[in-house]
Amino acid sequence: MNISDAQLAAFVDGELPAEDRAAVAAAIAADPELARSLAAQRALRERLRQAFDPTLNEPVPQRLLDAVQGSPIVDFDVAKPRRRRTLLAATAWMAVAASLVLAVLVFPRLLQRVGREPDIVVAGSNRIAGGELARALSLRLASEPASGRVQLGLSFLAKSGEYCRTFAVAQNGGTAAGLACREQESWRIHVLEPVSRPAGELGGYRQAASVLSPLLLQAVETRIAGEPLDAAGEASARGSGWRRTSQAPK
Amino acid sequence: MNPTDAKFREELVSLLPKLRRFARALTRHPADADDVVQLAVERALTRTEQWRPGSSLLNWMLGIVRNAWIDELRVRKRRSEVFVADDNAALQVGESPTDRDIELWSIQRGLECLPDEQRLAIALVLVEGLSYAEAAELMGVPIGTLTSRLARGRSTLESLLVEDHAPRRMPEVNR
Repeated sequence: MNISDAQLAAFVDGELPAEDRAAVAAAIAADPELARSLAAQRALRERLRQAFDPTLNEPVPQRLLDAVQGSPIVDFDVAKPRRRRTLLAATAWMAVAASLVLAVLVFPRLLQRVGREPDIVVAGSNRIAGGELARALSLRLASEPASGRVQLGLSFLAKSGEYCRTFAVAQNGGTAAGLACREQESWRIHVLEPVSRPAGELGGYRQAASVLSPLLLQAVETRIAGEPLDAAGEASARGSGWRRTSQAPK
Repeated sequence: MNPTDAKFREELVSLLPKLRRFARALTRHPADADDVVQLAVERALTRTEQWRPGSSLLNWMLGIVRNAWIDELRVRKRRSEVFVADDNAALQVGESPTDRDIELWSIQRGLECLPDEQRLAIALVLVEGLSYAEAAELMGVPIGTLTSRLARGRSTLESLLVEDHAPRRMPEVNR
C-alpha cells in the first residue's frame, strides 16, 4: 500500500477513519523510511505541546479576569488604556517572575558558583549577552583557537548596518547556539536555540559554519549584507569596537 | 444583562488558559499574547448573541482570538516603522535562561518563519488539538486547504527545528 504524506499526517493527528488505520499502521511497520517520517511528525507535535502546554498551568493575569467581568460595552477609546494596562500588568508580572527566578534559580546558583556572571541577561524584551559570552563576542576572532565555554562562528555585516556574530556557548550542562548583533554598546541576542552536541566538538572556524542549524542559517540569511567577514575583516571590525567607522565616527 | 450572563462569564474564565496557550503560539511576546486574548474577550462580550448555545464556546472564542490576532498584525504592519525587527521574547528577568526557555524561543522563532495562515493551522491542530474539520471551519476554508497549510507548515518546521545538528547543506529558505 502506498501511503501519502497526507495519510501519514492524518494518522499522526488521529484523523484517519478507523477502517484505514490498520492498513496505514501495517505499511508503516513494513517501511523504515515511513516509520522515520512518522517519528519526525510525532516528535514535532510533542515538541510543540511541551513548549506551549505549560501556559495552561500559569496563573491567568488579573487584567484578563477583569476583562471577563468588565462592562460589555467596548468602543474604540478602550484600545488606548488597554495598552497602558498592558505595560503595568507586564511590569507587575515581570516583578513576580523576577522574584520567582531569584528565589528558584539565582539563589541556589549563587551558592554553587559564586560570582559567575550570566551569559545571557534578559532586560525587558531584549536578551543581551553578558559575562564570558559578551567578552568573547567583543574580543575573540573566530580564527583564534577556541578557549573557554564560547565558540565563535560567522561574523558579518547586517543589511541594517550593524555587525553580527554567530556563537555557541556551553551552559547548564548543554550547549546553546545563537546569533548576536552589536547594538549600541552591547550584543543583542536575536536567536538562541539548544544544540545537542557539546561545545568541545564544535571545532574551530572551518567547522563552525557547518554547525549552523537551519534556524540560525535562516536568521543569518535574512540579515547578511554580502559575504561573511574573512579573518582580516573580522580583525578590523574588532579594532573599530564593532562599530561601522563610516556610520559612527567616535 | 440577561440571566445567563454570569454563567457565560464563568465559562469564559475557564477557557482563558487555553486561549492564552493558543495566542502564545501565534505571537512572540507573552504580553502580546495576553493583549490579543484581552481584545478577544472584550469583543466576545459585545456580541454574545452571536454564539449559538450548544455549540463549542471554546471554538467560538478561538475564532475571535484568531480575528483579534489578524487585526493586531495589520495594526503592527501599518506601524512597522515603529516596530523594527524585534526578535526577542521576554520571558524572565535576571539569570541566564533555562534550557526550556531556549527551546521555547527556538520553537517560537521557527513558527515566526511560517506564513500567518500556516502558523494558524499549526497552532489550531498541533497545539490546541482541534480536529481538521473544526480548524477548517474556524479558518473558513475547505478541509483540503487546511491540510495542505498544515503539511507545508510542518515540513518547514521540521527542517528548521532539527534536534541533531548534523552538517547539512544550505536549506531553501522561504523569504
